[in-house]
Formats: sequence, C-alpha cells, structure tokens
Amino acid sequence: MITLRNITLTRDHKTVFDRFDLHIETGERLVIRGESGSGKTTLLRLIAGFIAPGKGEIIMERKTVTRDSSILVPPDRRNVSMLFQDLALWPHLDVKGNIEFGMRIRKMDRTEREAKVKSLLKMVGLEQYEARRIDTLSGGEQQRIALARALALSPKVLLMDEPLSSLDSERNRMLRKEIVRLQETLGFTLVYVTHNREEARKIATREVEIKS
Amino acid sequence: MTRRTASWIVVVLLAVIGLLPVLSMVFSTFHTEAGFSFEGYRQMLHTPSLWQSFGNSLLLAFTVASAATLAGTFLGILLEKTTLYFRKIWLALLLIPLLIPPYILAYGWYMLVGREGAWGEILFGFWGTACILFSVYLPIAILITSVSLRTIDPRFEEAGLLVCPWRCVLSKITLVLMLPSAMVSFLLIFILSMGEFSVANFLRYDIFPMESFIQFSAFYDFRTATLYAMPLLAIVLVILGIESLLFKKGALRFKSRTERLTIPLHALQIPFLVLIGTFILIIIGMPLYGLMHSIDAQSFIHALHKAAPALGQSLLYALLSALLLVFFGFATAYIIVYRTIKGWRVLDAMNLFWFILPATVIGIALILFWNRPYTNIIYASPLIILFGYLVKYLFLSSKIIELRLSQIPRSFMEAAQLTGASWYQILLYILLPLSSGSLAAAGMIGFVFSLRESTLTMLVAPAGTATLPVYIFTQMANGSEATVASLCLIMLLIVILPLLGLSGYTAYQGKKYDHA
Amino acid sequence: MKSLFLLLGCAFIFSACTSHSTKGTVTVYVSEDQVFSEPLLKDFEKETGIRVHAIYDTEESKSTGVMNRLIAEKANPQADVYWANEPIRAEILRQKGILAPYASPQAEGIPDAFRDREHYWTGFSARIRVLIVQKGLKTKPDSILAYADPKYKGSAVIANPLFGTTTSHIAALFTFWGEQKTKAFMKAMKANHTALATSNGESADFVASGSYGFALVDSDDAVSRLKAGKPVEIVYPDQGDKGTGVFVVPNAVMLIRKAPHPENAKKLIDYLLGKESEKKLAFADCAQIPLHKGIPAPDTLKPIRDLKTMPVDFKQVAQKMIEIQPYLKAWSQSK
Repeated sequence: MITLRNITLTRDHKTVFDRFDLHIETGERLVIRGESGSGKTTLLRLIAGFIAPGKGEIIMERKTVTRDSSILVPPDRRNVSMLFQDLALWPHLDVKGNIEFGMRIRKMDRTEREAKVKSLLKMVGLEQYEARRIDTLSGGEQQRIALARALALSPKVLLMDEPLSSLDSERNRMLRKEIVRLQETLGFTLVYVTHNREEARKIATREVEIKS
Repeated sequence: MTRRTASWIVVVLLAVIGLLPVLSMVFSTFHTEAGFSFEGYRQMLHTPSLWQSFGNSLLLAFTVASAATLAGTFLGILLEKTTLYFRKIWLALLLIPLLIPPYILAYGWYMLVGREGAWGEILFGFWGTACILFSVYLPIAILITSVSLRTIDPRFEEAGLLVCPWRCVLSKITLVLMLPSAMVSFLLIFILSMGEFSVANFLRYDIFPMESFIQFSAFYDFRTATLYAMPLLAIVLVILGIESLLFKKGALRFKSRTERLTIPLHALQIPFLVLIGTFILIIIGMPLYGLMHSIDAQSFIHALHKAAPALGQSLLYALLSALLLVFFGFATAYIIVYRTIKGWRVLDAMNLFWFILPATVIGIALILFWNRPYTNIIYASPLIILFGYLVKYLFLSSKIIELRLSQIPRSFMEAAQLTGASWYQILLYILLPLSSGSLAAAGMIGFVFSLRESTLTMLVAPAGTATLPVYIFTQMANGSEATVASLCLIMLLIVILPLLGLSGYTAYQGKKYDHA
Repeated sequence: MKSLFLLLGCAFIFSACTSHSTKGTVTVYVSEDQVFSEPLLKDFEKETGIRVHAIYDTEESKSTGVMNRLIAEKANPQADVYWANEPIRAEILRQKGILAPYASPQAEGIPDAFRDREHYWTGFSARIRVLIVQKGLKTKPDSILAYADPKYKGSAVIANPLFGTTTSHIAALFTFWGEQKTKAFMKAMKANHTALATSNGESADFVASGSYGFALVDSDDAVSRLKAGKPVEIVYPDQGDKGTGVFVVPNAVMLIRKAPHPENAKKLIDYLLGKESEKKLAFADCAQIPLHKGIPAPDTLKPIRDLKTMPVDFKQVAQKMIEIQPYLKAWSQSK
C-alpha cells in the first residue's frame, strides 16, 4: 500500500538513507526500530509528506506522492495522521479545540463535530474532558488526547513517533494495549517508531530495523 | 493565494515604502558629474577627521554595549532569579531611561551638574555621553537577560547544584548558557549606540553620525550626507555575519519551561537592596531630579494644556505605528523563520540596515521619493510618519516575533498541516495565538519607540501636525525651563502608563503559555 | 492584509479631515522660535479665518531643519511661505530656485538694506547680535574682540558657527573685515579656549547659569534670560568710533515657488510684514526691533537708531557663507 523506493537522503553532509526500500501492507502494524539518530523520525516525516528526499519515490495506493525532491501530494491529501513524540498538543486550545481542529478546517458541521469529539473521547476513556486545558492534563491523559486528535479524521495510516517514551512502564503497557485494540477495531495501517525492543514485540505484526 | 505570493506582497510593499527611497539615495552616492564612480568613497576614505570620528563612535558603542551587557546580565539575574525584595519595582524604575527621548536625560544631567567644574568636565565629553547611553540601553540588556533566563532548562542547573553551590552554578552553567543571548544584547546595544547622536551632540562628543548630520544641516548636501552614512553598512554586514554564526549553531533556539529555580539571597538581601537602590538613585533619580525640580503645579497645568493637541497626535500615531509594526513584524518574522521565499536573508539585512541608518537619511529619502503630486495622499498625510516609523523600527518588532516563532515546535504546525489546514489557517489559528505575547511585546516596543522619535518626525511630519517630542524640541528654544521640564514629565508619564499595561499582560500570557 | 487596507482607509479619512476649511489653508515653515512665532500665526488665523498649518524648527544644530525639507520638496512644494529667522539662508534658497518673488505692499517703509531688490525675500522685526554678560563679571567686554582677548581666556562661549545666526555673523565679518583679519580673529578665539554651544539659546543659558562669563547671542536670547530674572546684562558690542557696530539680523519672509496656496500665502506675508505684527513681536518676550518707522520699541533694548550698526549686503554675506562653510566645519571640529 505504501512503497518507498530507492530513497536517498543526505542532511548536513551526512547520508541518512542510501537507496533505502520499504514496503508497508494495508492494515499491518509495522514497527520500525533503530538507534536514535538512525533516521526513524525522518522516515515518518517522509511518509507524511513534510519533507522530500533528494532521490527516490514514495508510492501510496498506486499513486506516486513524492518523487525526488518534489512533494506531489501534500500531507493533508494523503489521509495520514501522526502522533508526535512531543505530542504537539496546541497549548492555546482546550481538549475539544485540539480534537476538532481538523474537522473545523474541513468545515464539518457543528453537531457532527460534537458527536465525533464525544465518541473519540469515549474511545480513549476521557469523557467529560472537552473543556480541560492542555496543561492541566497528566502525561498519560495528554497522550490519549493526542491519540484522539490523530484519529479525528479517520486516517488510513497512523504514524507514531515514540509516543510512549515518556510514560512509566505501567501506563506504557496500558496504552500499548489500547493502541493495538484501536488498530484492530478501526483497521488503519500503523507505522510505529521506537527504540524499545519489548514495545516493538508487543505491538508489531512485523518489525523492521534500520541502521545508520 | 499561495504562501509565496503573500510573502512577495509583503516584500514588495516594504520595498516600495522604504527600500526604493533609501536605495535611490544610496545610488546617488555613486553618482558624480562624470557618471558612475567611487570617487566619493575614495575621498571619504582619505578624510582623516572622518576616521577620527568613526573611531570615536566605535569606542563609544563598544564601551556602552559592553558595560550595559555586563551590568544588564548581573541585574537581570538579580531581578529575575533571586529572592530580592521589590523586584518588579526595581525593574520598572530601571526601564524609565529607555522610554524617554535620550536628549531629555542629557538635559536633566546638565540641569543638575552644569557645564563647569570637575563634574561638568566629565559630563561634557566621552564619559558623560557613555554613561547616559549606558543608562538608556541598560534596560534592553536586562530584558534580554531575563527572557533568556526563563528559557534555560532548570535541570541543567539542578544537575550543577548537586555538586556545587549557586555561586559556581551561576558562573559555570547559567552564564555559559546565556552567552548567546548576551551576544545578542551586546550587538543590539552596539547598533543603537552607533546610531544615537542627540546625546553626543548635546554633550559635544564628536561621533560619526554627526558627520552625516552636518552635511545636512550646514551644507544641505544630501549626497555627501548619505555617503557618510554608508560606513554603517559595513557594520551591518559584520553584525549579520556574527548573527548568522550564532543561529547556525542553533544557539538562539530555546526550550521554555514552567519551573524556574530561584536563588535565595539570605544575608546578601540587604547589601543587594542598598546596591540596586543606590544605583537607580544615581543613574535615574539624579537626572530626573535635575529635570523636575523646577516644575510647579501651575506650569505643569499650563504645559499640559499647551501640549494637549501634540499629545493626542503622538498617542494616535504611536498606536497606529505599533499596529503596522506588529503586522509587518509578524509577516517578516514569518518569512524569515520559515524561509518562505529565497530572498529571506535580504529581508533580514534590509531590516537591520534601516535600523542602523541615521533617521535624517531615511527622512530625506522618504521626502524625495514620496513627495510627488500623485502620492500627496501619502506624503501630505500622517501616513508618511507611519512609513518612517515602520521602516526605522521594523527590525525590533520583527526580531522579537522571530524569537518567539522559532521557539514554536515544528510539530505544532505539522499536526495542523495533516488535517488539511492551509498555510494561512495554520498562521491564523496556531501561530498567531501562540505568539500573541510576543506580538504584544513587539507592539509595545513599537509604540514606545515611535512615541519618543523626534528626528524623523520633524523631517516628514506634514504641516500642522506635531508630536510631543518635536514639540518639546521646539519649546527648548527659548521656552521657559518650567514648561520644558513639565513637558518632559508629561512625556515620561504617557510612556510609563502603557508599559504597566504591558507588564500586566505579559505576566498573564506568561502564565497561560509558559509550557509551550 | 485586511488591517493594511483598513489603515490605508484611515489615512484617507485623516487627510480628508485635515485639509478642508472654508477660507482655505496656508502652510508655513517657521525657523523663528515657536515660542515667539506661534502666537502671531494664531492671531492671523483668528483674524482671517485661514487655517495655518505650520512646521516649526529650532534654528540651531539640534535639527536638520526645515531648510532641508524645503530643498528636498522642491519638485512638489508643500509649503507656501517660509518664515526664516535671518535672510542669509533665504539667499541660498533663492539660488536653488525654491523662491518666487513677491513685492508685498506692506514692505513699504522697511529700509532697503533689509529687503531683497528682486523681492525674493523681505525682512521684518530684527534682532541684533549682542553680548550677554554675567552680572558679576569685573571688567565687562565691550566688543566681540573680547573673544580673542587673553584677559577672557576660557570664560567665553559661542554657538557653533556652522549653524544659525552665528554663521551669518561670521560670514558678515568676513565681508566687512576681509578674510585675513577674520581668520586671525577666529584663530585667536580658538586659542583663547572659547567653548562651543549647540545654539545661541544654550550659550545664553551657560552665561545665565554662571558657567561662562559672556556669549555672543541674538537679542531675543538675551532678553528672555533677562526677563526670567537671571543675573545677566546686555552689552551692545563695538559701539566705539572704530567699532564694527552691531550686526542686525532681520526675520525674513518669502514666498515658495509653485506654492499650493499662493493667494493665502501672500495674505500671510502681508500680515507678517504689517506694522501690527512688528509691534507684537516687539513687545513679546523676544523683544524684536521693528523695522517700520514710528512703531514704539520695547524698553528692554535700545532703539536701532541709537545704535551703531554694521553695514552689510546680505547677498554678499550669503555668498561668503557658502564659501566659508568648509572652513567653519574644520574650525569647529579642531581642538
């Protein structure tokens, strides 16, 4: 479903990828493992369409979305969502504002929006949190809200960039299970980046290791 | 409209407003009767008196910038990080000299010390000029220090405190982490002292901007006046070079956090209180006393009555100018931080060049360019004053917003981008609200600097308009001492009031978004 | 984007509001101190209903002044009238083609010496250059030569001769004494540690505050310090048989070429040149000396007919001034 072909990317005179190939199947939970600095995050940003490599192409659903240094299909047309390592929850918006942001941009009408926000919050187990400010949430709660936001537009592909790295092992385990459960219910393709072997083993239907 | 188009519109607008006028002046310096030539430059380089005053200027700017940065770092730490009593009050008092036209401060000292005697000798000359400029620009160093302290990750300091006391943590960790921001403060104050000449003129210290000024005021020679402003361009280039080095290392990108560590003063509380109290009394209390002791209630009311129209206009123009500065400041900061067009570096250089160019050169450039029958709507209206302020102070507002924008994590925008938000939706819903504190700060700084400007205003203000600093200026000629002093007091009051508003607002904003 | 258009809109309204008035407007640039000139212009407004838009200047080195503005605006003049505080710079403007001739009927009766023959400018209400002297001074200077007198070493101050009426005065000396004698005088003045002030007003303040013994200033600077009760007195220099006499500096008013409101401009010029205006300026704090005959003069100053004055041709002085500017710059910057 997603194919990266012959990707070559250099940054600050260092080669991050050299003729790198990767194929991702629809509906799988692919975990990408690697040391820090090995280019895991860069890989996700390539798939999302924030950046283009110098050489190579990315194909999504038989369409070339990136070729060499040009982005042919912009991020928002790729039906991709992302859970950022720092979560990137906007501090000036409350929980509801964060989750419904994309729906507003897509001019979804109000009742539909509100219903969707409610169901997403229920899904992550944080009903009644709509009006809470981001900085009043605990780390685990922020993680769930970020997850709800990432799922708001029902993406086909969800990219996760070490989303659980800042949680203690108990919370880590709980959220891990929940991510697997959500993926199984909703059926999106998951591309998950981590350096943690155990985490990888528990989530993955397939694992890939990249080396710098 | 694409992001590129919008960026270009901003650039073109700025180019028409200020760059073309200035460039046409700059081109005139290459023009002689024989056509294009460097003859003017050759002659300039062979004029020893110019070298002398350029040297004086460098010495002055270097002295002021080093002293203000050193003292500002010390005071910034004292006021931002320690348990010193009345910190807010000390800070507010220390800000005063920045807020009033510098020549008023010089006037105050003169009223106090006079011309004669040992003190008069010191006042009139290098040391007097340097001390007054030091007090004027010290607040900048303090503010930069306190901002940079807020963005240092307290964990670095905590790690240090495990092995040694605060004294060594400050010198080995905190100060080292602050080095880039101290450099920024040094450069900014250096530029400002290089360009400021009203104090040096009043105190008879021969500095370089005076050369350009004399060409205007005594010889009415626009070409030579502009020519003599060109060496400042060399300084701009050097500073840009240093700045790009600093940015390359990413040294100016901070992460801001909520928790901050404070240093308990314990037994040092009283000595430091005495120290800062005495310091403020000397650098601010004394000149203000010199200025104010001749005021009585009657002359104050009289002055207020006379200055009312000028006061109203001053506030209106400063307000509009602040809006314009925030708008273009945000636009240029956006273009520079996100490099939306290839020429972003040029934009950066342009802002700095305007900032360092003498106000007289900008003023004449604006007149020559905009005073045409079909642009009377601009030249014969206060819009020309706003253009002048915009050009002169865009660097400040742009830099303030730039610092904030560069702190906003990239992922904040990418998260929005994935939902399909367009560049202006991201700008409107994510970047603007997140940088609102810096917009307010840029607006306030723009307001204050526009409010205290006099040289440019005097040159381009349409007939029938007058701002308070210009009015004070013209009243200083044969106006009564009490009236002039009262006018200065009014000036002081109207800049202090909005500042209190700002400190309240930023405190509120700080609480709201500090973790961002 | 929106806010920019809004701003442009505001500017439109702004300029629309400021420029209409039933009797029209007149724009005047003024180099005479605002403290003295503004009341007169306000009176003109009241009496004629014509709105006056003025730009004031301080005459001295603190500003680049309206002169630069007039020159820069030459292609599209904004000003109708220029009220200069001395006629020398009027000559420079004339040479640059910025003035238009206007023979005001009110100029009748003003001595020819204070009028341009071709009517490019007309003088009125004069000041004289006097010595303001500290009251306590034991031997009072009675000549500008005191600047070169070792007896007064370090105790004299003069406004920077690059600016204002001081330039005119030095240029006049050049025409009167000749180059050699004047340069020798200037050199001696420097050797005598004469201090430089940024303006005549400032030198008067220096004397008033006791910082210096005496200064050569305009009579209005001296009179206003006297009226403020400062311990100073006025000395009319060089009144002896061999003396040069006092240098008289009239105000000068002139019409700008291609003035946007020429009719109102002429009305303002007529008004300023009228006897009534001269009288008002005479009895204001500036105590300026009327040039029309038969106007009572203020008692703070001696009437001009009782004084020995220095004969000058302002055109010649203006020419000289342009010539000696580089010399004056070098002089003022030398140690």
